[in-house]
Amino acid sequence: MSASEGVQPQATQVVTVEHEGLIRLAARRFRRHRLAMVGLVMLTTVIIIAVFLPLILPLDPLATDYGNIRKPPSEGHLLGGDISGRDVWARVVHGARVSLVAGFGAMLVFVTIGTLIGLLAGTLGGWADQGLMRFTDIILAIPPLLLIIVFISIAGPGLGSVITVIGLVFWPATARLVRGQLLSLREAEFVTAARVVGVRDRHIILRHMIPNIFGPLTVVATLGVASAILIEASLSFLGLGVRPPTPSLGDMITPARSPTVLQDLIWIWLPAGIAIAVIVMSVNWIGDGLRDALDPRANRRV
Amino acid sequence: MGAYFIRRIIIAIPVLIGLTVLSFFIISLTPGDPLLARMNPEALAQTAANPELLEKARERFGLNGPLPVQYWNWLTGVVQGDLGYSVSTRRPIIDEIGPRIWPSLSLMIAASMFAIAFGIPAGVIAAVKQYGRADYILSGVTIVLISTPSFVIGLLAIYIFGVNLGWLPVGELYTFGKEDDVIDRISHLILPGLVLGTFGAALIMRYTRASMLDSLGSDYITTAKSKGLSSRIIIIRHGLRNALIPIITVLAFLMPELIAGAVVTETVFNWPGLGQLSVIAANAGDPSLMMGIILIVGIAVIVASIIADFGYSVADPRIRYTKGS
Amino acid sequence: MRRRSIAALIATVVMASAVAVPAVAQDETVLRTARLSDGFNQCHPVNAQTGNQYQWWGTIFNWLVKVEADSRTVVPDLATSWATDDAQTYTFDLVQDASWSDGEPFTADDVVYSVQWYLDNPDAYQGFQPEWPKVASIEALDDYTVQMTLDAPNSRFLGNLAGIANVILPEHVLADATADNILDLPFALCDPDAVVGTGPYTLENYEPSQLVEVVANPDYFKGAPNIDRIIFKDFADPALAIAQLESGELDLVFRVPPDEEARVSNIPGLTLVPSENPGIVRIVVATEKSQWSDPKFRHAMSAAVNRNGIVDGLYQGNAKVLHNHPGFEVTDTSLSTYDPDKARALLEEIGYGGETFKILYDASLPENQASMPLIQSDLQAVGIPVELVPTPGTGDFVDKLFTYVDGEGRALGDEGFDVATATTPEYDGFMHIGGTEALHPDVSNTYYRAPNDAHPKWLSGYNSDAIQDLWAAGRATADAGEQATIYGELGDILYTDMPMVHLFVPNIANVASDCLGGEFDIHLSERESFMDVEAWEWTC
Repeated sequence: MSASEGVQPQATQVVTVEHEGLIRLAARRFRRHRLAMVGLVMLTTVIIIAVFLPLILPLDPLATDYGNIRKPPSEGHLLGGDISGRDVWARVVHGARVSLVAGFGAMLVFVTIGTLIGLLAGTLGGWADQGLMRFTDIILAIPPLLLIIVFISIAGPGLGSVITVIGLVFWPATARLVRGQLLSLREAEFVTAARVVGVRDRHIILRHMIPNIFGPLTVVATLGVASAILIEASLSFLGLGVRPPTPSLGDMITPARSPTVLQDLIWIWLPAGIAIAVIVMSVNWIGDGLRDALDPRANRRV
Repeated sequence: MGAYFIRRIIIAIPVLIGLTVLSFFIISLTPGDPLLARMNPEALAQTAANPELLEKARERFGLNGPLPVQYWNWLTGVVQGDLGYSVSTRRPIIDEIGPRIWPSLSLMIAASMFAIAFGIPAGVIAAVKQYGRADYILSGVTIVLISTPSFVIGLLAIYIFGVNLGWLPVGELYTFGKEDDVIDRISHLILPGLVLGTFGAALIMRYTRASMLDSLGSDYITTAKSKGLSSRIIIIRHGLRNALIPIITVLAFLMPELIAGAVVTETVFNWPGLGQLSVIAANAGDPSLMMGIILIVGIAVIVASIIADFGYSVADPRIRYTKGS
Repeated sequence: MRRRSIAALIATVVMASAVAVPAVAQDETVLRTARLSDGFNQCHPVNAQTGNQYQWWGTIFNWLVKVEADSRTVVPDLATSWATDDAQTYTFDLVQDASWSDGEPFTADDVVYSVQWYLDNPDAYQGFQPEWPKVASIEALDDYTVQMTLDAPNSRFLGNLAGIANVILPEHVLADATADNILDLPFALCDPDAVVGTGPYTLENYEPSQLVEVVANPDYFKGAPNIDRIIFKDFADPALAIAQLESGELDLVFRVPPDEEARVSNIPGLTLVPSENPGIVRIVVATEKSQWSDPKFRHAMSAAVNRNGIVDGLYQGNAKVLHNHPGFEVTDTSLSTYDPDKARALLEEIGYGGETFKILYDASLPENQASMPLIQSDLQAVGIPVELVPTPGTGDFVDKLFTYVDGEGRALGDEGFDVATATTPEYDGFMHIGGTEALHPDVSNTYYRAPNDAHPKWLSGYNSDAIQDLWAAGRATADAGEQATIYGELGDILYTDMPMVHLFVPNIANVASDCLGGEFDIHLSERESFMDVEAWEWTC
């Protein structure tokens, strides 16, 4: 193995079993993982509510109502009114939308960037590879939230900025994964044999890398979604995330810094906190289940 | 062994430099001019009439010349111990950062200690009682803690323990008049340390559990259980020793997370550390201050990973950092 | 076993290093109070931007005159008595036994220096302005007598002399300061070894954005203060101050957020002191921008906002509707009555094209947090699209106030930005909170700059000779009847032109420990309260 210093490829074995059998096997293992199934159900429910409920019911997260300021749950307001009289339930639903978009959006960004960089490093090799890997180390050396805060002060607040910025900070794990896969693929004997016979590199990559990388990559992506959602909430809580009046679950918790809101007016912030926890929990469970299902040997690593 | 560490440190330096170059470049992309942004229109008009005034100010804050020159000036300054001046507070950056290092460090140490003190025993119990009730409860609590944002945990902690129960003080380093009272300082550290350490504790618990199970296998544990208490303890010790390496890895990986998590925790608890300062610097658009913070934090992270390496060699005598390994 | 001993070692190291500071006398009386963090960490009035700085300057500096708890009645401070025949030339007799905290005696030279430095460097003061620009000449008649001649008679001069930026500064320390270097002097940067004042306390410790610590000055010319030490703790968020009140870590907090009043009044050992709020909450409009320059646009904004909804719904009646600057009597409130239809009609009348109105506001102030979405909704309901631009803290808010675009609309950092024409603010309006305008109609003048004054034009581009003449006329006379007529006219003009849309003002509640006694009293403009701190006592 000629793995460069400090980098362990995530999977050291190349599997050549047929795709379909592999997926079916994984699905079965996943189904057996109780918590993962619960997580899947929870997440699906949340997505359905967040996406479809506003289309059916009139849920306006922005409509203020002088008569509903700080009012507890009542007729017409499932979770009461917030400090400006807006409907808390509507804001939770729309805030969940924002969290989901932020989480999955950021995931798409960091998977894309990470894959590109990992492919580049793996295929180019030599100096380019070393350079890119050092670059990865540097990004990893900076605490994520710090780097994100710096980026946000450049890009300005807003959902688009948040997604881009989180993506720009989370790609190293993906890049290392992809690069590791590529490297171990290179070493595998059958690949050398296939090359001798004349099979093009691209086919080898497609046929063999993807099934091998799919598992670990899904796990990394899923856990990245969970982290991204938490970071978006933290940024909004600090006032650096989504711009008002766009609802954000993190931003709904900011008023809880007031003792009266925290202790007496619980409906204003607790639903948002629970919503974040539920979404992130379900994603984490799904991630756990995926990890066990797709790579049962890897339960000591994350 | 010494040679290995010297090599590690030497290798860390280019990473540190690369880090500062990257940060410098990124920070320079911030729109607007930090100096001009602080001037009222009359002062602005004055500088239009007398450009030398602006040049002098730029020189003072290290904001003149092309980027590589600025960076070089900054770097040479750093090597001599001068981090430059902050545009927003007009004070030397060392004065801004210096007093905040110990608060951040003590917070991280406290959080790490809590993480280990809660995480390892929880992981051991969960592993030994795998699939039993204790395991499910601990794993459940762990997942809830990882999934709840730290500011929510922090706010709840302040009000349950600080205000309602009145057990612990809320916010800041010490009670006035008691700066030298060690117990007082520690009591102020408990709440924020606990909150910051929660994430780490949950992570360590998961790792401990997983690696204990890995190294021991559940059959081993079941046999030990049936054999009685004393052999169980031996088994646990054995499993724990093997689990140490992944745990140290988690701790090293945790360091950047702790520094990052500290941003939110420090804000909620009004804790005067570097995390709070980074939010202030970002809001104030103060580039040199952000560079200073990133430098210190980068050093801390690298030091943490070197300590982690040291921990490896202590934990596993088989690992020897000799030439050629 | 090895693990345990390593843990013990680490624990010992941690605890040992926590002991770093020498002991403090145990039977001292200490007052701990809170102040809102605003990022302004200067000890020189050139950068007096907020009332939070004012709070503790009263402990280390003095003024020529002070005010009583009503914030209006003038009483002696460094000036023991004064005389004027024409409200234009003032002769002040100064105390003779006062000294600076470094031992130098206080003399008339210090007063002359404080005023003259301003006259020589008028552009240096970036925030609140002192009264000195109204001084034409100043002279020390002898070591303890000063004579000032104003450029016009001014019946308000004395009353305004207690304002934040009028502190008397030490000539022997600051004589060589220039406008270029003033902000970088250790004195201005609050270095405890460099800050020198005549006040009842001296600066002992200063940690920016964290705390200010002052200790009693036993040689204070009015007698040593009773309370030995005062700590001003910084809070970025008022909520944490409340938590510390509840846990007994604070003794005095001004301006408790209205939502917390019920809770705070239940804390044993503390008393809630309600008070009227002499300030404002208003939208200051950038009237120099052509799309907002028609007063009818501001009338439309004024008619669009449901002030009573805010007062009743948000504050449960614990607030007051404002129609105009609070110092002025209001007779006709038709321009500020809630009437969305009228607002829409007005907008159509002036041909409003639907341009977005960007409002800048300080999100750390409780007055803003809940009200901004309500104001935005109300404005949008009549067809004015509003973009909210919150800043997380007060420091950033003031920075953004100074963000200007040049003649071509380019901002700082844009290619070709022309500094010379950068006099238009980037925002369209901002939320202005605070102030003390209810004290007297003349106080509002602080916020309107005369066109030829060399001052920052930081509040609405609106000004006119008419209103400046009226203010000058008000100052020129001391006759109550004349003043009523003059200020009545002034108030009407300001109301009809409405460069600032006044909304409401919440009532204030301050909270103090029951241990605070002696002559402890909270001023109407509460941040001045520390002017009398030497007479306070800690009775517990």
